[in-house]
Amino acid sequence: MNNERQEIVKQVTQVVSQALRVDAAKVRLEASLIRDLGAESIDFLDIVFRLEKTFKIKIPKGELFPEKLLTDARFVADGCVTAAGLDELKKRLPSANWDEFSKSPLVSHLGDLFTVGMIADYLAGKLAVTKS
Amino acid sequence: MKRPCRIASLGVDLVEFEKARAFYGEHRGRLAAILSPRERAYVTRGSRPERALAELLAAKEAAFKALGLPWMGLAGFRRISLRSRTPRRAMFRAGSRDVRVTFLSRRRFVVACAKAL
Repeated sequence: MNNERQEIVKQVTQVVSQALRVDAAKVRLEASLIRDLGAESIDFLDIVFRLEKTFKIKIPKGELFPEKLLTDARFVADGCVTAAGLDELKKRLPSANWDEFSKSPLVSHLGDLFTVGMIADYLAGKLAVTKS
Repeated sequence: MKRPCRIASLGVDLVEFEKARAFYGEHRGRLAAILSPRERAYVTRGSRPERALAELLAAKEAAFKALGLPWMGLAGFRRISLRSRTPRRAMFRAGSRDVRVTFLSRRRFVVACAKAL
């Protein structure tokens, strides 16, 4: 892991630890915010706002949480993500664990994809684009 | 005479006042990202903004569940907006659908129960 990525991971860990009031030792890269760390919707809002403040960026609507995609009938049907929806989500969030999700692609399971590592990867990509 | 209507589905959510207080203290300048002007006025005008904020967040989350929508980030919260409010219930609008919400408050939390109409 290079120095920049290490620093991003360290800051994301701190943000998540503060927002969820959990010991930083529990905030591992593979930890799911909802399933492992007990995050609720107010916590997601808190984390997004803290990340924007910490990294001095704006997380545009639809970028980290693909809301438009999830209301598109091509991509979501009867509470499940379709094959087309899965392809689209993989493009938007390439570092999420899609193998596990694909076994049971329920929309209600999407929240489990948000791990500490996934957020760190998203920010690393965003900051790299911002710098170039 | 009341129009007949059919309840489509239910959603329930709970928000702790302590969490809402911490959130309000940390991010009160960012409420426009998740609340409409009417909702912000409801929060900031009252003597206990953290309770009002907890109610709104619980109501919106309950509405998401009643409507069968996944959590969609900040923009998702703006899709569901407060239309009217009485002490124990509120009416929200989500696109073309109405969502009726009732509240149950206790010392530490509020529970919102949403019925998508």
